[in-house]
Order: sequence, then C-alpha cells, then structure tokens
Amino acid sequence: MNLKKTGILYGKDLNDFMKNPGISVAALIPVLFVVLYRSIGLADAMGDYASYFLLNIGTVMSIAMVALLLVSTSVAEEKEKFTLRTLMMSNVRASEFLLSKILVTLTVLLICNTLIFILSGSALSALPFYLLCCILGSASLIMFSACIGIMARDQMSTSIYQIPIMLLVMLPAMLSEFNSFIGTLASLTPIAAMMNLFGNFQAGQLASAASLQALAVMLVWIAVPSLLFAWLYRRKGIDN
Amino acid sequence: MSEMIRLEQVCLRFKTGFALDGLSFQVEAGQVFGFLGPSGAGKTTTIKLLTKQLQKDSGQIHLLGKPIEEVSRDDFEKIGVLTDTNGLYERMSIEENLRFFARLRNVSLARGEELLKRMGLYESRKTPVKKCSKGMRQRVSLAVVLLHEPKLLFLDEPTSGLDPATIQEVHRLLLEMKEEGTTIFLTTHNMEEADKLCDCVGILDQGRLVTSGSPLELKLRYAHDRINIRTAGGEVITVNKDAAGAEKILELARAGQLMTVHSEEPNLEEIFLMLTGRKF
Repeated sequence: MNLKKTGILYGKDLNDFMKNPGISVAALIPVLFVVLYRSIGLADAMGDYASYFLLNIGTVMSIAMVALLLVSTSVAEEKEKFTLRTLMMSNVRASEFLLSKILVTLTVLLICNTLIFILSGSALSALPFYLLCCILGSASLIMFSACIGIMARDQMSTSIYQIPIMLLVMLPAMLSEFNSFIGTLASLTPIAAMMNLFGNFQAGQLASAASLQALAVMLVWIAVPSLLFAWLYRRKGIDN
Repeated sequence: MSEMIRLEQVCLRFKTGFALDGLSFQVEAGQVFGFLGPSGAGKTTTIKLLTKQLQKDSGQIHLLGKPIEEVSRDDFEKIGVLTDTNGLYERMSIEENLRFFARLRNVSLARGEELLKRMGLYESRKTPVKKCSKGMRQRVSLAVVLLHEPKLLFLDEPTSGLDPATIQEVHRLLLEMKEEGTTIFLTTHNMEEADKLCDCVGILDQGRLVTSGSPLELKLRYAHDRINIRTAGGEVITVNKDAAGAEKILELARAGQLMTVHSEEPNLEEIFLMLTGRKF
C-alpha cells in the first residue's frame, strides 16, 4: 500500500465530503439535534439526566448515520460515475481507495462526536475515552458500509442495504431506556455496547464483567462484517 | 521493444455467448492501431482484457512484450486508458481534476497546465466539471490520460460526440503523440478518423477479426474490379480491369474522347459491409 497515494485520496475525499451537501448535512443532523434540544430548553427540564440523554441519543444517531452512510455512498458514487475505474486505471489499489474512505469517515465521526460531547455538557476529562469508544463502536458499521459499497451498483441502491442495518443498531439503542427487553436486546448492538462501556468508565467500573461483555459484543460485531467484506471482495472485487 | 500488444486465439465467453472468439492480432511499437466494428462487436471488451479489467477464458495475451499475467502495477505506469465513460469528479473544477490526477501520478503540476493549454481548456480551468459540455469533458479526460506521457495509449472512441473543431484538435494531438513514438490502440466508429490516423486497422465483428491491414492495403485488397471513364460527351462508361477495358480506354484516347479515368476503391465502411453485411 502506498501511503502517499492514500493521503492524496484522503484529501480529495474530505474535500468532496464538504462539497456534497447530501452527505455533509446528514452528518451534521445529530449535532443539530443536540443543539436544538439545548436551545428550546428541553434539556433544562431534564435536569441532571440531560447530559446523559443528549450524549446517548446524539452518539447513537451520529454513529448509525455517519459510519454506515459515508463509505457505502461514496464507493457507490465512484462506481456510478466511473471515477473508480479512472482511479484503478491510474494505478490506485483497492486498499488505498478504501482506507481513504474509512479515514474520512473516522475524521467526520470524531469531529461530530466531539461536538456532541461538548454540547451535551459532559465532563471534558472523559472525552479521549469517549472518542476511543466511538472508534470501537463505529468500526463494525464502517465495515458493513464497505460491504454495502461493494454490493451496491449505484447510490440509490445503497439505501436498500443501509436502512435495515441502521434501524437494527439505532432503534434498540435509542429505546433501551423504555423497556427492559429492548434494553437487553440493545446491549447486543455495537452502539449500545460502546455506550455501556463508556458508562462503566464514567462510573469507575471499567474493570468489570459488564465492560468485558460490551467489548466482546463490539469485537464480534467487527468480526462479522470484516469476514463478509473479505468474502465479498474476493468474489466481486471493488469495481464489479 | 517492437511488439507492444499481441493476442493469440483469445476467447472470452459471457452468459449471452462469445464476446471474443479466437481473436488474434498484434500491434507494433509506435503504431496507431484502429480497432473498428459495430456496437457490441467486442472492441471495449478487448480493451478491458488488455487493461486487466477482465480475464480471458483461453488464448495468449502479451502486453509491453510480456505475458499479461506478468504485467505489474509498475508496468501500468506506462499505460494510459481513455474509456467510453469519462470518469471525472464532477464537483471539482477542470483544474482540480488535473491537479488531483497529476499528484496521484506523481507528475508536475506544470504538465497539467501545459495539457490544459493544448486542449484549449486553460481559460475555463476553474469551471466545475458538472457544468462542462460533453466535448469539454472528453478533452479533460484525454488530458488526464496524457498526464504521465504513457508509452501505450488505449482510446475507446475518443472523439465520440465531439464537434468537428474539437475532433480536429484531438486528431492533431494524437498525431503529435504518434510522432513522439506513443503506441495508440484506438477504437472508433468513425471510418474517416481511422483512415486519417491509423497505420493499421482491424475490423472486428461478433468477437472475430474479419480482416486487418493498413487502410490502403485494405482498400486495394477489396477494390472493385472496375474503372469508370468519363468521355468528352459527358457519358460515364464502366469497364473491367482487364485487356478489354484497357483497349476501350486506348480507343477513347485515340479518338480524343477520353476526359477522366477513375478506378473504384471502396472506403473502410464499404469494406466492412462487404465482409459482414452489417452496418456500423
């Protein structure tokens, strides 16, 4: 892999993300949601719970949308507009192409989640660990997104694959507070697992069975799409 | 290296049938090779095989003097490919596209600027690609392909959809590249283009090469056996290229009635129709 080429692709992809309102606005929605909650006074009515609620819901939305959306939509667009073929003919490897997309997704995700963290009013000392949890929690969805990028023929068809996975990981995590069964179900999703891990850290219970379980859930979720990606890539290649 | 491309009995089968059926030809270094044929004949498929976007079912392919299986990533630095779809970044300007691909190819930005000027795109370099006409996009794509000065260039219908002035400009550029020693593999529907640019042409039909040679060779090979004579009285007489025909010409000349004598050579399109019975 040529890191210089990956860097050039990363610059192009980041620039393209900012010029593409369809994607960049979607990435900002969770941040805007937290801003809205704060500005209309709903968070004040919640008292101490507001910080936890806003961080939880903002993070869930951000990871589910950004991690799942960016790589798949971007790969599908490159296929649809034949720029992927031009890149392959310009001696770019599939690994360099995909790594650039993943790095852009992580960059956007970390910026958005830092904003959400600050706006939620959480203690800044926990920010580094929170961002580490975000990387772990989003890795599986980024890999799913890469799989969707390989499978989808164009941008339109990415949503067929994106929406079920988005609902699967987002809804239980968002509704886990309202029902114990949904709460149990949610603990098996990567985003809820990462929030549980972060919650244990804040409660000073990082070295616990619950933290290990959360970590295991995230690792399994990373392994499944990684294996799927390896299989799909061998079968279809990147520019199928 | 004298031989840039060689195909021997190459076959490729899709679900719908044979895309290429025992295709054999070779292209020498510095040649402009025109690959002619109707839509669906297998022209683009051949380019995809030669650029490793597809894999053959059987036969041998040699590229840059070595079996295609041994052609490496570094070898592809000597190759440029212009496909029938111009894969440019639409949200970027013309200049940004050139700069991006120049950096990827490790080529100086001055080279990109030089190409923009040669393509007549310098004044509109700040225009986003999504606002460019088809002709402009094609010229930008060509500039991208030429950035790293490839030794072997694959051009899939490079002048399709361009206006006559731009076509002339592209032809001038390709002839300059030929002068510089670039080998060009060109697919086209445009027979005049093939006649003007190509040292050698191959006519492909249903995945098979039906004939090949220089445009002049083909015209002579498939020339009609007839001569048209115009007399002083305006009459047009057609005679065969034989002793009787020669006698008739002599007779008219002696009588002072001979105005013009033209042999009938078919153009490349007529040759194709003659060989395949299909239209371009």
